[in-house]
Amino acid sequence: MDEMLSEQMIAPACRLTSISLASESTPILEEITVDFPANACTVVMGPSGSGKSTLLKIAAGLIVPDDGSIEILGVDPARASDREIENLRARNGFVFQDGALWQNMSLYDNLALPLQYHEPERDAAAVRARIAELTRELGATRRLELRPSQVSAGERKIISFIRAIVTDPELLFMDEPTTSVDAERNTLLIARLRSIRERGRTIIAVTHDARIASRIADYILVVKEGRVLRFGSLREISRCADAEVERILTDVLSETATYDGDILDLLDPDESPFA
Amino acid sequence: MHHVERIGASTITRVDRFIYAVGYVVEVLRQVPRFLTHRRTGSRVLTMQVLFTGVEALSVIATISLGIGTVIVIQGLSLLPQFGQGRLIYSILIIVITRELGPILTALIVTARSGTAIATELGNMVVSHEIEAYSITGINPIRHIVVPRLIGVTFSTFLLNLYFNVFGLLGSFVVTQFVNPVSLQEYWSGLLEALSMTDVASSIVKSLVFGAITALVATFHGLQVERSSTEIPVAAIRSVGRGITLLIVANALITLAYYL
Repeated sequence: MDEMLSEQMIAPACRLTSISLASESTPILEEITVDFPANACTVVMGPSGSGKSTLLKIAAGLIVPDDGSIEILGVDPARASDREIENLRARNGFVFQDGALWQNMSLYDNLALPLQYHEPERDAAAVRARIAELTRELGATRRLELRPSQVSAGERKIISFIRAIVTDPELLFMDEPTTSVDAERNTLLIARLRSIRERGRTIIAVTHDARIASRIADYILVVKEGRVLRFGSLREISRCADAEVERILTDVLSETATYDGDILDLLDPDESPFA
Repeated sequence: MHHVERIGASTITRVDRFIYAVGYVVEVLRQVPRFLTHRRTGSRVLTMQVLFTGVEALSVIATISLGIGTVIVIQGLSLLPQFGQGRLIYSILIIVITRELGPILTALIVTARSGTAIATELGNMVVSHEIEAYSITGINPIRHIVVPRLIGVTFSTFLLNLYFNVFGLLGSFVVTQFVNPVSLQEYWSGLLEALSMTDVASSIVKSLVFGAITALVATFHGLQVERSSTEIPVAAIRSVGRGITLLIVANALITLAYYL
């Protein structure tokens, strides 16, 4: 029994085994094998065009790879029934790079739909209360009756983030969650992410944002040209002696950081000015 | 050999596409009962679809049906009495408006208006990752997006056909008053005499089948868009082209079945 429990505790939230994907014979991902640890935050980093977003979508089961297998929260989407897939999705959240809000709905309806769909027992007042709580906490617009096209890109991103967490998912995927978000809301968003992680949820994030990496990452996955270059704890990666990893992280982080000195210090939990 | 290979490859591709399309239709039909038992979140989409396809097309349908009814009455009343067959005008009105032109013209108008709109809207939703957002949120896009459109367009086509008939036949009566005045009672009894239950059934079956074809073809082509916005107009054009072809074939088959 103890063995079973300990096995469950260390089971990864998401397991990718020998994943490969090509587009018109151009390889996008090659032989990716990663176990994303449960109850922790993994940040995926790499140069633009290295396949990070595709990797994230494969991990979430949105893209079917050419080869390899996926297991999300113990479920293999390729073998699961419709009902199992639906139940699995209800336990996931996804923040898209471009927000991907439903344009033909108001911002409020964008947030209410997942709750109405997966938690039909919630009445309208409970849905309203949950949305009000999250929008207040994250400083989102109060004009939720507007359509996504009527608000700024930053507002859309925040609403997209709230939509992803509104059902309190066990596993949260995020693709550049802080792009276009102003500094004040960025701080609120990171605080929320920390509380999500502290409550034992799993986060897998693709980001160039040094603040997210330094403040919520437990693990870093470095990807280059569709291959895993290095995967390890934040401390291991920030102190990694591999010159290529160092160069990639320096390039990635310098896109958002404005600090002088050793830019990899931004990642080091002991040195980070964001901690 | 090279040509044979090309023809073979093209045939295999076409067969694959056909099988995929059949699979799509089966999946949509499989999701219909699930939508009906879980429609709290999809009823808004259904209402909007009926509003757009059914209500907003009323003026177009009224104008066309009135115009066609007028033409039939004028032509019929100028020719038929010469052969002593004046009362045939009622049979012609029923055959043309109720059995043939009502369902097919209504469906063509719905394809031109709603079919293109649906294909364009779904294509845009694919490009902006909205469909992926439905999937990842655990909301089945077929059930939530396609099924309400299928039901909405089918129901609207049925209602518009009814409306086409009422306007076409009543409009003909108004025009008759200028050409060869008859009483409403006489006109009505003439129409009822010419009308059989098979005509009504044929008209209803056609409008339901045509509505379903329009919605299925439009949603299928809209969802065929992969990543680029330049694919969207192509999807809309294909949706109209294939939709019209299928409607005409289906019309011929149902009419043929009527006479068998």
